[in-house]
Amino acid sequence: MVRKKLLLAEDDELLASLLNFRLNKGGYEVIHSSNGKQVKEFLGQTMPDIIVSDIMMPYFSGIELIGYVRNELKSAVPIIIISSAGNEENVLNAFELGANDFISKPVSPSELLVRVARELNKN
Amino acid sequence: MLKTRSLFWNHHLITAPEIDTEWLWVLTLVFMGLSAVYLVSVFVFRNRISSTSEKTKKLKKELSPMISEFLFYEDDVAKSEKSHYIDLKIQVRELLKDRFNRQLLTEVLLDLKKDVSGDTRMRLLQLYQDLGLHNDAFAKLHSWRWEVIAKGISQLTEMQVESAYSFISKFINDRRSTVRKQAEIAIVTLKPEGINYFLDTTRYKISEWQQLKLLDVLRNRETFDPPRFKLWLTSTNRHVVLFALRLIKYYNQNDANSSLVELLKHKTALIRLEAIECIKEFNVVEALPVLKKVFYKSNTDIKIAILGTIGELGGQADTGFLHAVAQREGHFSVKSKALAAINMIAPETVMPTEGIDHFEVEPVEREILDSTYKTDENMEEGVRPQEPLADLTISGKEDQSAVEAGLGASDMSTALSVVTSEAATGLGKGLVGATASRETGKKGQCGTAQEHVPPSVSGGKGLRSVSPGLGPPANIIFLPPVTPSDPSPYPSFDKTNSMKDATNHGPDILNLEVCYEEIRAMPGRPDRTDQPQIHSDDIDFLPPTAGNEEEGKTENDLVAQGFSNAVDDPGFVPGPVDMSDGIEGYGLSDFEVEFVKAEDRGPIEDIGFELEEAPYSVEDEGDQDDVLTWLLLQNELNEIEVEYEEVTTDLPLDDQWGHLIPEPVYYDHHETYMMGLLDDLEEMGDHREIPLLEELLAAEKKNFIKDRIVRMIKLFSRQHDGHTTTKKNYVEELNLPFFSVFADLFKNIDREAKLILLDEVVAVGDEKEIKFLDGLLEHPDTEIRDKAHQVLKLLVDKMAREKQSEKDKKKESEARETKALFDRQMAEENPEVDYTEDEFHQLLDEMEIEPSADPEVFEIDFEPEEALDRCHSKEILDMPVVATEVSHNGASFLFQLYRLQRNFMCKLNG
Repeated sequence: MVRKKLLLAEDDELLASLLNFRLNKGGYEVIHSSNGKQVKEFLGQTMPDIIVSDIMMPYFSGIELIGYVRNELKSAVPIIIISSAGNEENVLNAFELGANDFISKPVSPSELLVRVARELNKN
Repeated sequence: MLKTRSLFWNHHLITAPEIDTEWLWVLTLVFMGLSAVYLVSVFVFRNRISSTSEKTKKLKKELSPMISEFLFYEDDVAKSEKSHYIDLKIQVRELLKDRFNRQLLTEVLLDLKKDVSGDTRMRLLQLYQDLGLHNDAFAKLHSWRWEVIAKGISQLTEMQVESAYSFISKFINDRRSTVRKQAEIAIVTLKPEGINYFLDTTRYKISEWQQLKLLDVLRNRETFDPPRFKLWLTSTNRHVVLFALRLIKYYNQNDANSSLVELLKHKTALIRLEAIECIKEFNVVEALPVLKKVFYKSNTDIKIAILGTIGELGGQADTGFLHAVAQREGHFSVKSKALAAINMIAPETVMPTEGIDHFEVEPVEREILDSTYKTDENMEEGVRPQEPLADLTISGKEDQSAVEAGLGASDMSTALSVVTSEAATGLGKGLVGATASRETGKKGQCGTAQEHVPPSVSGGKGLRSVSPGLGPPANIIFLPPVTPSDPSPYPSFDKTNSMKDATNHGPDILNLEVCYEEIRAMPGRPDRTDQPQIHSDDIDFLPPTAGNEEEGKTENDLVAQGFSNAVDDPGFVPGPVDMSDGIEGYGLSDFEVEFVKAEDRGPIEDIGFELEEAPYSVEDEGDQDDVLTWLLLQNELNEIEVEYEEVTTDLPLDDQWGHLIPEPVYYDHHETYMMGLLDDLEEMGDHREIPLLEELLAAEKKNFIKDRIVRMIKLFSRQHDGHTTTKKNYVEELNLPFFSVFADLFKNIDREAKLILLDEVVAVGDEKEIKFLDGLLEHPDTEIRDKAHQVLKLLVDKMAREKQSEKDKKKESEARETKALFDRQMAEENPEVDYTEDEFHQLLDEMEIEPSADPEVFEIDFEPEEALDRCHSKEILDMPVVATEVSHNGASFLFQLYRLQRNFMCKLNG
């Protein structure tokens, strides 16, 4: 069975490790990037099946990433954003730019897993 | 040249210090050593920090998959995974033997706890305890350092170690505020009953911020059943009471009404305020009497809160209190709140009064109105335009623009007629409503009517009514309500009729007693003597038009209803005014008419005419300029029997009151100037102005000015004498000790300068400085102490020498006097004998008189000597300057550096 590629863009190493573990265990091939530059580089080479990205990231924010994927790469890959609570404005911006879903911190890894599965099923 | 030299000689003290090169090398080496130590320590510490950071990062990378493994481990996994899990457990246990690793793992878990939620979080909390990390936190509770205890409590709270509850609860009354606050939050967080324990036991203040944090904890508790917080309203800790009140309000526990009412009498303002808020929130109507009772003893904030609550909960019965508050209170906010509260109870009882403009009828508007009313005459009955009881006035600008836009009179009139008929209909409805509301005894009868009447005429055609609609309700209350089927026994009252229609006034109206206040226009007041300029505001005093019985029933209704409301008003003085022709086609009804109680009438100035000094004078009765007379003539009412309210006096007014009224004093130009000048002098001048005042007195002719100048001179002289005497006495009484100028200087200079100054004390000081130097003998600086000691010695020697010299001088002077006396006597007795000096001394010996020790006693030079002109020998001037004079006493920078080490050692040794 081919595992779906999931790009996890998260600068918090601990959380990223935890989510990575959970998503990996959930049956996804997780590629972790801790900053926007790495994400951009990776996207230049391959397009994952789904992107899970934090909004606040060094060099290249989650919002910019959505813009980049939708406008420059012209890709319709599902994007789930992770945002801190009380960051509604950014979430709205993200949706305007083409984000598919969002999950707020503190993140429940199980919930994320469900959302990822749902987005992939949609497509 | 000589001067230059003497200058140098005088300033030798500021010469650069001599540097001891031996010490310089030592210091250089010391500094180099210190720099090396500093650099090495920076390097070592930096490396240690970076290595720790690296180690932490590495360990975190190592730990995070382990943590993930532990968090997401499930029992129903493959055997290989199980064995891997067991391996990890063993690995972790090994790691946790190291204290640093334990700390790090705790940090990681605490960090992760913030980022994860749901079941992952629960597993994480469990993992924390499974790994035994909470034991470290427990150990911290035994520390003597408050920050460690606080950290321990915080950790146990964060990781929700419920078993820590009893350990932490003993810190609830800890005297260290950080520990105490942390314990409070822990207690409330760890167990649902923690809040009860906290409120029961806390003895300390609960800050506002702490209250918010505790409330936040309670708010976020799942399945929290709040206790009845009224139980803590009886607490002796007022902060607990306050917090309980806030919790009561937050959790809507409205079962403590009696306690809330009682707390209105609490000494603490905050508690009272919070109780008022609760009362308002829970509609505790029974608190109203107590609120009123405590009102006057409260501060402004509480007063405002009380008024707000009365406004919310109160009824008509409470408006009296509110009115009283509005009248008595001086504070603007309280007053405003009282008025607002009145309006909350009875809406629009208090109308806005500030900044309300009075619109005047301009000539152009008048023309438009005129044409409008002429058109109105041709209109059918029942559709007759009717404006509200108040006048229909027109906004100048819009109207003007309409005229300028070329709207014909007919257009305008059409527009107005349509609008006014609408207004009439609306008004009619309004008044019907008003009648109904009055009959049912509801408040604000006319308020309803006002709401129904369109407040302004639409500006669509360029006209806009700025009339507020009906006047105040009380003004027309005297007329009974009239229905269309019930012919009115009272004459109908047409507000909008032109005067031509107003001829059929009833005889009853004409026989009414009229009470006029007579006014007289000032001569020279414009312009048109036959038709004076009258604004609607200027005729407030005039009674309303009463007349045409043939008016439509609707009008009658309106007016009757309006007047019926005013029947109860005993102070109202009606006046029939029948107007066949108005002013330029206006009827009096065209102006804003306000019915005012005679006793309530405003100041006479409101009428808008300038009044003469004696407004009640009747001497100008027949004056055609009199507006009233003119109006009566114009309206053929001059035959009406008018009863004047006259002030009858036996004596002329001047005789009666003249002695009470002061004579006016008018100054001419000179007098005004002089009085102003004298005012200024009196206010700002002192004895130095006496010469000027004397000059002015001499030049002045007016007696009253002279008197004033004389008074001022006396005053200034007295003040000056008094001041001088007082000052002298004061100085004498003080008997101040001798003050050393050095003492003052000494306070404000650095160490080096102090030492230099001490040198100068010997040269220029005297006995006044002895006490000052005495004080310096206990100076903390040894150098200064030693120096002071030396200087004191020298000064004492010097003073002793000076004393001796003075004594000698005294003796010489005595000897001189004796010799002069002796010479005079000898010369008188034996003028031919000439005594030598030896003989004189021999004589003195014989007489046992001690001669002066100074051999040159007879060659005393009294010529003063200038220091700068003093001639010094070349040896003195060429003398090399001793540089060590400054450095020796330890005042130089290098010397201080040298002393630094010693001082440092001294400090280390205590």
